[in-house]
Amino acid sequence: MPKTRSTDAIDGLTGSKDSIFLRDPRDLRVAVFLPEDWDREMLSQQLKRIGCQVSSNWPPLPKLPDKTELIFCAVLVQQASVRLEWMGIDCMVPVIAVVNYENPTILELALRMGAKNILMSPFRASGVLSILTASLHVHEQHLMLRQKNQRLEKKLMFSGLISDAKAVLMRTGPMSNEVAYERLRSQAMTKRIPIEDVARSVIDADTLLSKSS
Amino acid sequence: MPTQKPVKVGVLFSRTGPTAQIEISQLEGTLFAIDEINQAGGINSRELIPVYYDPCSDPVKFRFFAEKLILEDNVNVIFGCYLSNTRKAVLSIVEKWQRLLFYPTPYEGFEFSRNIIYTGPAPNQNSAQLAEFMSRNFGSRVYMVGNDYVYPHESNRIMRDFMRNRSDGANVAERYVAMNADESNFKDIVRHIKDTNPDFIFSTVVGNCTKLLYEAYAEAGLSSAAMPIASLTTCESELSQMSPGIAKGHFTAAPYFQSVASETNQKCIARFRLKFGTQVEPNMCWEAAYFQVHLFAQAMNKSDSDAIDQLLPSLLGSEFNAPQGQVRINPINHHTRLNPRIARISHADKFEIVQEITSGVDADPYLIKHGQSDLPEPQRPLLVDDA
Repeated sequence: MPKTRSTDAIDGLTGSKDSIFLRDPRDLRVAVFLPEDWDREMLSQQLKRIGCQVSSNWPPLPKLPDKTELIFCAVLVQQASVRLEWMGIDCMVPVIAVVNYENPTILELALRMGAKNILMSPFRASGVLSILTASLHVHEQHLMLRQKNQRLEKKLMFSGLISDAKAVLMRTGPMSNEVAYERLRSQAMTKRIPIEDVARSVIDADTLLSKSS
Repeated sequence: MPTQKPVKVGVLFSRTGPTAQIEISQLEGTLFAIDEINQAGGINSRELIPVYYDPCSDPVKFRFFAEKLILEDNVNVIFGCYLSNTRKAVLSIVEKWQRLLFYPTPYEGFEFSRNIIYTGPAPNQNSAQLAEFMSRNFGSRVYMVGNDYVYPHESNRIMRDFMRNRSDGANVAERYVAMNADESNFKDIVRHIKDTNPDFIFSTVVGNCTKLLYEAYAEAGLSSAAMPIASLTTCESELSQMSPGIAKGHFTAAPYFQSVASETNQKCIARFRLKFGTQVEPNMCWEAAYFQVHLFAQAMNKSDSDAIDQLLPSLLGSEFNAPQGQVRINPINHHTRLNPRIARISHADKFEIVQEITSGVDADPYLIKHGQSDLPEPQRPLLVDDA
């Protein structure tokens, strides 16, 4: 069962046998944006039973309550044009859309809002914890993959830089590819700076020398 | 063993509110069918007794009266609802108490409940034919106007999708008005229509607003021969609210019009007039409200019970020779096979049928993309030039 909440998500893709149910919903700060006649009381009560801290509002607040970690938000065609800061595909707080019609117009609006999951109203108390768990998990996976992607993009960008620097060393050394790389790496280690900074200074120096000659 | 105890059924259509006119026609269609059934000896000799409340087009009242019908009047079956939000309100109640609702109105699809029988058209039984017909005869630059609720939004999505797939297609504008919109709202829209000059106007305006749209259009001197309004809901009932001739040349798609030539229909209208007079104009919603009571009575004749578990087996898959032609309840999706038609409003304010599929089209309520290829070939396709 749930361990303490951690900001480090376990990589569910590695097949680790550790529990991936890391997010303890206890004390989770949940914003509920539902009209009152949409079983709002029922949802709030169930979230409180689960142990969440719930704030309820309608219409949706443009600015989220402090430290909100999960949002339930109703989707209405009359609100189609409403775009708030926290909505969108890349929203930093997971959103569960609440709908009372299941047609493509409504589902499209839910996805545009950035919904990680969709809850159909009227709902029952059972099912709320499941959808909450799945949504938090999907959101964490999403954030993690995005970070990983950013790291890889950065790496890819610098790999050109490093091979340019290696070429300079191999030409002026002269030395082999492996030795050139080792030279860059050990410099970075000694000076405690990223390898791409070392590579950049090698290239800068080479440019300076070739211009002055 | 049949008992002589009467069978009470619930009836929920609004006599007041913005959609009262059309809902009153549904109410009379229901009462007319109940009267016919009783005249013919009732259901297994049991008299059918309607219990009616006026829910005033208000979803909260629909929910309240549905529960009252079930808990205080002990009804097992309810006939009712026009607007989608009122159907949703009653849905939660009939599901909670395991009762059955018959819903006789065109709607946006994407719903199934074991506790509802849907007897009005889904989009593949009216929108798809209308989109194809209008773009073939007038072009594919569409101006969309509707009331601001779920049915117009979803109907417009289908129309938008359809026109996007045409080489000459364009979504000129999409405008929504409140249920209580007034003349000035429509004047403003018609002015915009004049400026943007679309090939046709797709209207999902309902209730009292309908009249305002057609009047504003006529006042602005626009030509229905060049730029007609195409609707899924404007029918004989709405037409009777307008001054004569105002809506001439505009189009509506529906499974039923008074002008359906069959003997079954013409005799049915004559019987209705005799009993109920000329206050209510028979129309698509009236007809669905009428035949769904007969489908119910037919099924209960067999099951001898109106409890949902006994009734459903004899109801699902059953057929009826309705004024529009043969109809059948699909056992899988609880929707009805209907006969899609398109009609043009003539100078005498009659709906002149210009295209029809009398072999019937099954409802496909979860269809997202409406292609042209899966439409059955209509009979008597019209060339509009002969107008």
